[in-house]
Amino acid sequence: MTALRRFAAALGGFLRGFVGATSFGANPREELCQHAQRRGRCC
Amino acid sequence: MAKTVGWIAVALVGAAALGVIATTRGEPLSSAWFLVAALCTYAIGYRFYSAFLAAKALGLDDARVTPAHRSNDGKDFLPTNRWVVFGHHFAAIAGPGPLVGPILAAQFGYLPGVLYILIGVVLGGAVQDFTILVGSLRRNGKSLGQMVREEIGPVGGAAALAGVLAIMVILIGVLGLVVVNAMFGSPWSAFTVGMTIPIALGMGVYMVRIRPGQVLEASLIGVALVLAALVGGHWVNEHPELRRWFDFDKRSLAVLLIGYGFVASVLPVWLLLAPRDYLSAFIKIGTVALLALGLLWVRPDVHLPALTRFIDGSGPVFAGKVFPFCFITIACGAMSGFHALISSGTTPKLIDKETDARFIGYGAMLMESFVAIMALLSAAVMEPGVYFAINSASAAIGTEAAHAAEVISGWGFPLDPAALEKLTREVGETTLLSRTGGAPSLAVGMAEIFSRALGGETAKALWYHFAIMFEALFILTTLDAGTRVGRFMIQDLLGNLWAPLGRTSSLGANLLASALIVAGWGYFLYQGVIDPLGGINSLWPLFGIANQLLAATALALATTLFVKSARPAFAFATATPLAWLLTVTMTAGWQKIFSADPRIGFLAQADALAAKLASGAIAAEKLRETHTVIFNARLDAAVTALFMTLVAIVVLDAARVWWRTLHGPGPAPAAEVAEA
Repeated sequence: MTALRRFAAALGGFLRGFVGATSFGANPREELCQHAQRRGRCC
Repeated sequence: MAKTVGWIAVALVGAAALGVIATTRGEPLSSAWFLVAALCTYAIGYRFYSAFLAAKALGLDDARVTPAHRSNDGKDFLPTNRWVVFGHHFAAIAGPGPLVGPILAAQFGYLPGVLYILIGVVLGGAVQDFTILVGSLRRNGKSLGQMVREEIGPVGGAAALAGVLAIMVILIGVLGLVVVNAMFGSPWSAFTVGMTIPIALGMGVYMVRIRPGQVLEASLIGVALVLAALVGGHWVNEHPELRRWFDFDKRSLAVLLIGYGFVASVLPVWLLLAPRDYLSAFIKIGTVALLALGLLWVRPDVHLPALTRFIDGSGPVFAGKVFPFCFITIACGAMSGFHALISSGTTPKLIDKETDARFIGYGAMLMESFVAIMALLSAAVMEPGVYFAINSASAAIGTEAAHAAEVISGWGFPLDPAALEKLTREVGETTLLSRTGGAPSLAVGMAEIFSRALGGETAKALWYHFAIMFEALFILTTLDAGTRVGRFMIQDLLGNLWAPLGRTSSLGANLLASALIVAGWGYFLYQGVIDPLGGINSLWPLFGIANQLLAATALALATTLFVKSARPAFAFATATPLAWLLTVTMTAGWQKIFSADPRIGFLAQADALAAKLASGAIAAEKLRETHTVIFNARLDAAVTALFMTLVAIVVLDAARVWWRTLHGPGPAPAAEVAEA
């Protein structure tokens, strides 16, 4: 079970990094919310 | 003890698989042998060679503070979990190069490509990525250009920067050509790929304006719409009126791509580039994983021979002998200069512990190499006759299936025109002949593998266009992001001449720099489109030479860092691949400029066409185009000479530093950051 959990964590981390390498950065939601808030919108 | 026995078993199994691959002749060979050989080679390379480099040559030490901790700003510099950095680094280095290069090199047979991808990555490519990453890590995340300037000198630094910009221009031009060759006369492909642009724009507006921050929602909608566009493409293709709207010739597609590159560079990042990039990420990683699973599940037989007659340089895909052209064609799957820009870009700023650099720098490159092996297998599982029908220029095989089959069968690769036409219909196209550039043959190979795993013959057309969309997204992501990066580099340069031109917020400066970079790569793209030999024959080797010369620059820097360190003897680890790369690329560059064979030498090609012009053998309507092709061939010769000169400057400047360091009064201090 521990090995499975470790594998899932590694795969999750890899995918998070892979998608996070896009122009949105590591945390797209935060990036977009900051962008919206700069324009006076709530998020 | 058990571990030792285990590693001996891995080595023996890998050696046996390599032995089978190398010695089998004339019999079908399961692709499983290739997968086993690759995985065992990577395991041995990672476990032993990278461990040796990490412990002995580089002396990785977690007591050293990394830039992510030293300059932690919570944004660019941020200590990050090593799996996340691995995914980030892999996404940044995995471009279309490892997908296209091995497919083109398959004209020599599978053996040269497989051996170079495996040996090159373990001893060269992964070493380059790893050592540059560690070099940057110990210099607070400095870039390749900055390190060359500081460690080698200002002359070498300026040459490296100029080289990077010139290489970017060639890279985007040739990748654009690959997309054009995959999509001309294919309404299904043009519709599906074209629709990803409004879908991305819609996602951008949705995530920023309509439902700010709702990334998951937008991603699900985006992926669903892309899949709908894929299915809709079939309907468009069948519709007599609509198919005309999306049926583009090569020139129109080139103009559309140039327009797209300009718009993507000028528009705000959040509106087009970011959502498109984000959407592509899911499709890219999903398809690569699917290909790996498909190959493991189906384990198709390889039909391509180990070696073909074209190792003598007479190949129809591109001209030139197996040495040096196989190696500069494969390029990124074994070694890539571009990776040095990533290893000295965002990655070193995220690494938590110094020892993570081995897993990220060396490991991610092994994974990229595995992508190259899968691409090569996708070409190798096709019937060789079909492979050559897709990848040979029309100047070599004509435009009719029957004539092409006759020519290709004459080369010793039997091709039944009826079977080719059946395959063309199965993948939903009107022609597969002369779709050069590697992408369509990869798509045919992937469709073959995927349809055998899921959907059968009836799903082949859908899988083919899915693969084309995947490749186009891969390339367009590089094209739009590369154009934007090139724009910033040009603004940096122009800002030195007149400060307002360097302001990235200025619309005028933005438009000017975008126009300059797009004009640069657009020129090479258009040159490829009108090239009588199909464009890939000239431009892919030019790209390969440029990319490998950038790798030579990176390895010259890495060797300098070793020479200046307390462990100069370990410089062999980077000096050996450097010597190989210089031999290969300088030979290829010299041949591309001066070979007397007009199919290889740019100057000979220009002279041959000029002689035809002088003798009146060129038809009146082709006169203008022939003058342009002559000019382009001479321009390509000049660009190749420029690359060779720039790298010669960097390497000679580096050699001067090595000599001075090794024979001077004492070791010159390397500019590593002092430890806390």
